[in-house]
Amino acid sequence: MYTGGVFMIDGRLSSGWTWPAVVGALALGLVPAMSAGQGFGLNDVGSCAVGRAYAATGAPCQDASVIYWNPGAAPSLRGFSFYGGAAPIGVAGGFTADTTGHRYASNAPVAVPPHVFVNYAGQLGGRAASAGIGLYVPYGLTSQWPASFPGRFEAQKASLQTFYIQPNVAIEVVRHVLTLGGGPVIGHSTVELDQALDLAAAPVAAPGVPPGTTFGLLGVAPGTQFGLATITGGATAVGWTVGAMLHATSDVQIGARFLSAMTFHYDAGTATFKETPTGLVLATGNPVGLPPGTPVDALLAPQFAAGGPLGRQGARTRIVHPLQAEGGIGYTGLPGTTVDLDVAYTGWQSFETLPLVFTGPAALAGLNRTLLENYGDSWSVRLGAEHLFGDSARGITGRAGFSYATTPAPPVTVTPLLPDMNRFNGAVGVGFPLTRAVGLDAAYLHVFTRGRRGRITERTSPAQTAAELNSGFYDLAANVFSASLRLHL
Amino acid sequence: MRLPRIARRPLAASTLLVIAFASACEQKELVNGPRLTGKDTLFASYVALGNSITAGFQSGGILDTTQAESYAALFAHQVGTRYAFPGFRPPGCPPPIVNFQTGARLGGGTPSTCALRDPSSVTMALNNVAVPGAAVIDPTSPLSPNGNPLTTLILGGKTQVQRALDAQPTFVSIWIGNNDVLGPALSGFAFGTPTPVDSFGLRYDAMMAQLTSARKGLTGILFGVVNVTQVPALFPVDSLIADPTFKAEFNAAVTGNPATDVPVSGDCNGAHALVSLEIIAALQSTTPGHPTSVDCATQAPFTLDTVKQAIVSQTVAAYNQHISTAATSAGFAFIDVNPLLAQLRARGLIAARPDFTSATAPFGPVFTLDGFHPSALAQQLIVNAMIAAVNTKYGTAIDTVAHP
Repeated sequence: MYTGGVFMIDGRLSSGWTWPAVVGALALGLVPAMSAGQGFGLNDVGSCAVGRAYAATGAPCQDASVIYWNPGAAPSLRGFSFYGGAAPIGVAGGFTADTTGHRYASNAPVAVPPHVFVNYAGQLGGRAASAGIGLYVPYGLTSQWPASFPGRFEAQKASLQTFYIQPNVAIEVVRHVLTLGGGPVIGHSTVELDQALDLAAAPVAAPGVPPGTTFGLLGVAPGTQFGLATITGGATAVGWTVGAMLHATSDVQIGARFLSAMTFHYDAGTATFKETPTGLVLATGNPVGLPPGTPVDALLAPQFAAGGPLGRQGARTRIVHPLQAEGGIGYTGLPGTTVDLDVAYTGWQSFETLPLVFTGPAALAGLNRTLLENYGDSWSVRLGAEHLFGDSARGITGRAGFSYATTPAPPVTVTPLLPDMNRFNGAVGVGFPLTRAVGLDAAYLHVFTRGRRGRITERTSPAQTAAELNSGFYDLAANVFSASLRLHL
Repeated sequence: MRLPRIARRPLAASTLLVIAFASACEQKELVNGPRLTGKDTLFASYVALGNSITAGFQSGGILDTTQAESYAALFAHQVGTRYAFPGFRPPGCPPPIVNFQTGARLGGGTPSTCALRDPSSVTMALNNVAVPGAAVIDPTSPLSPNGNPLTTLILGGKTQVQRALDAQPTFVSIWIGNNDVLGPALSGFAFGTPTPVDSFGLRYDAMMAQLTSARKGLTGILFGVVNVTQVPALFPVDSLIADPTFKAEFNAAVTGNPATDVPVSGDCNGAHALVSLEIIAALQSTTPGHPTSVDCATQAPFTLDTVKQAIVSQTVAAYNQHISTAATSAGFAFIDVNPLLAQLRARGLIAARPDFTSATAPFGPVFTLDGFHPSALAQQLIVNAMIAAVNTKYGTAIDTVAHP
């Protein structure tokens, strides 16, 4: 079903994909995904920026990734620039249950979000100007848990893959002082949510059983899986971005960027359900009044048939990708050295709910849900520096950085879908020339966290608190390796 | 990367700024640290397996308040570990008897009344998986003839062992086997005889093997089977012969009229037989072939002559020998509650015969209105004996429960 970054459904492309998007993804041979930033945000856009722990707005890297990090600074490049690469992200995380003390390690696959930028900078009417385009992954997520994980009923696997295509134009507004840039952003996103179905929450339809009785009230333990739901979909949205670069003095520069929020409506999604054998049998004298030894699975099978509540059907959801605003100050007064201190804000408050709406029999069976997220806005402080060892033509650039990001997830929304928590990022990087025009950047970033209490069950009412729902401890660490090819002509 | 000296100062200051910001933001997370469970790893996850006594059955019924009085609940509280039980909503499933004389049940319920599980008690891991009516075959068998609605309502299609393992136990208590002799004894062997010792041993071993193979290093305590000839639901026939007042009360319990004589067979004289309380319902029955007198012959129903008493006692002794050996083999503690019962009987806390004139305490303070399920007081006495055995075996210092 999952083939090289493209969702295949019965041999057809899922409806949300457009051909340019497919071609782009196939050409890269890479899979956009994984969360190593705040929420399901990703900042791994270019190896230079990764090596600086994402401090790249006040004093942008001298490569075409400036289109993302500060669209207004793109005219600072000279001539034709290409910058492309990828950042494999490996996440090590787990959940330790209060009830048993057992730790369940996540098994999220390594994800490889790509980035490609092309820019041309020259003179326009005596002013520095540029035009370019970029493809990058600002939002992505893959969380995946083993089949034994008790939180699989909240999320067995969650995958959000969003890439933005951003044409950019920029021009020097005040000579040698201020440049501005910006442009539209076209985003494409695919989403997959695999969720185990819990028999304990399923209603019992049997003569003599009071309405509203669930299998849980008949003794079935919560966490008894009887099926797996897979919801997939794709969507496209449009937004915009602007950036500015102010050269306050010869050594001090101030940069800022803004990326608008984009709402993706995954309206043509698909929901499929697969029955999972429970192996349960009804005991002698069971309250349902059926013969002892009756397999529970046989009672449930009709639910999965075509036309049944758990038959294949349509589904839709909506996910807001929040706005980003970042500003920073750069200092270049030391020979060969650039220091950048940025502050970033992400408008996660827009991620309030996650609706799951079925357009088939499941809706009539009352299976539509709205996951309560209630995210808050988040902040990040990023400090990075780089120093050129040697001359500008053949020298090697060393980079390092540290950043801290607050989580947008409130204590009541630390879930298997996204067990988000505050993050510390430490990074190192290097850039070295391969030829006069070509260079290679490489970086490593480690995400440190202190872990956080969270839940594995659904929050069904806003009145429910973290103290009531949280039943264990999530831990998380991540390693990001990034490599980018840099070309200047 | 080594920066020029002059550059390190602003960089260092900026780094401190970032770290200070990070530290300030992290402060709020400290209140969300991991929650500790259990006093130590020995009792990190405790699960009780068993039958009605462990489940918290009292006076022929069960609901969340009686369940909370089980020795298993008390033990979990004493060791400070999680305890989730399959709570039943009031009035119960079935509701307990509240009047011994009339048989009235809580909330006006009947023996077939069942309020389902309390939704708040529906949880992934139960710490008490005991099922009323379970015999030694049941912890490993989903389809034994001992099944009843409570089997499904508590276990949901699994066995006790499977449900216990869901909680990944580090410590278990197992009290199983009473129903292998109780039912036959109360019927005077009319509806079956005690489970043969060999079969009992095989089934017990299968249960232990499933638990200990799935949970390496499992610890626990095994309870011996009660010698059911000592429960007050079985009382001496001599009382009916020698005490006219008691006989009149018995007549009234059966017929509603103390003057309406219920015949006692002549073979009861000097037989030292025990009479089951279940004989009252049998005598009241209109079913063809139902007993019309108290008969003490070996083949007679609802009485235990000395032969049948010996069979019960010898069978229980053999069961307990096997359980004790199983405990030694598994490295578990073992407890035989029969000395405790004998002590309570000697102190007069267990009535030698029912008080048919009492609506609420016909058997004394230790047994409830059905004559064989322990009271809340008895559960406290049981847990204290259990704690003593655990402390001895594992060198722990668990406090006992205060009781009247």
